[in-house]
Amino acid sequence: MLKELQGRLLRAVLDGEPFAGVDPDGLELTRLVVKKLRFELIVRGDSAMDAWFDRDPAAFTDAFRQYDREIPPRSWFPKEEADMFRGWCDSRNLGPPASVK
Amino acid sequence: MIGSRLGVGFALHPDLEYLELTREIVERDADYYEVNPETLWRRRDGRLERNDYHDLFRKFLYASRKPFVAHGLEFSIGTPTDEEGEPARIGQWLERLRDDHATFRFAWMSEHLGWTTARGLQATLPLPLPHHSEAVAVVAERLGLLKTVVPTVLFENWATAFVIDNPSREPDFFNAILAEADCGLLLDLHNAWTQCVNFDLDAAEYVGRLDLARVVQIHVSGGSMSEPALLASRRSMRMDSHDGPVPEEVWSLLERFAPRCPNLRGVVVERLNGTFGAGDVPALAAEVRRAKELFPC
Repeated sequence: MLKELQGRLLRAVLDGEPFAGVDPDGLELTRLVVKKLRFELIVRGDSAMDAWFDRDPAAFTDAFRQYDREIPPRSWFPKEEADMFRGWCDSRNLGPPASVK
Repeated sequence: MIGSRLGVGFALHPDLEYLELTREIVERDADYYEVNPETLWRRRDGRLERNDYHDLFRKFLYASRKPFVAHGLEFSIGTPTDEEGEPARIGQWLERLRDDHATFRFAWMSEHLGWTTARGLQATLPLPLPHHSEAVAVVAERLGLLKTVVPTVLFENWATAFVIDNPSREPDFFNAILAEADCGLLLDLHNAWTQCVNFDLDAAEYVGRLDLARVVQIHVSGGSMSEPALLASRRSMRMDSHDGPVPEEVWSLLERFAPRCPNLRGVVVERLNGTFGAGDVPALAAEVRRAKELFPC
């Protein structure tokens, strides 16, 4: 019962879907914090990604938003998440310019 | 449960800028150090191993001769042990923790109450549990696993942006876990206050209903209100963001409740790395000294 609840609730958090009996504001705020933490894992895990964000925050943010929509979070190690993001960027010819790689 | 009093501790974050900024607090003021063991690890080829901060903090240990305590986040003590992938993850976790404990001889280990993972997905921050007996049993089982490595284990009361059950009943739920797991409580006063601000509860009543004889450590920290623009409703909620000074309301709770915790061994002033600059360090040091006045060693 608990596993089933947690599975459905985490999907609701990640997808921004309502969940019966749960305050939608609290759920939405949690979703935003999860995204923020994921962003922080990436910039902490890869100095080139950190430099890319500093140099071109709009491009980085666009790429991150797309990545976050397509790839659900599965790691909490900064380097592991950063490597996944880098691999995703490479597969789409996105990512930091060569000067910060 | 009574052990020696360690005093007022300070967190060692794996961040060289933070360690440099807080050097005086770390070296002069802190009586003990709190580390998140997961930040001393990295994954390589599917296995967890030490990262470079393990070595750096080991040098802190040898140079300072001060005690260390562990404060974990991602063990996800509210996740059932038969969840997909958990048996392997737990095995790796305990192996790494055992290695850390052999080095640091943690005086105790605490974990955040809640769950961070389900079906292989990560929330990264602890999410709330329903207050039923299955959740109590799951948390107690996982705390029992940690006890096999570090004998004194605590869990930290949560601050969550949403709840699944009546938040006014949270002290009863926490007390049920404390009894079932026969463990200690890390009483995070900012979390308690934040929960009471967001859910319109009386913080002193909330904390006063906890089994205070189980409190081994207290956390005090600051936070901030969420930007109204973040939510369509434009509602603002208090966040446990550790990004500001400790509010007076939290100091008042410390002053009132620390003397009522007969097994209290340590107080930690928390401040997240990256949320302050050199100009803020004197105020942070003053907070550590204020905690020492309220909880003399």
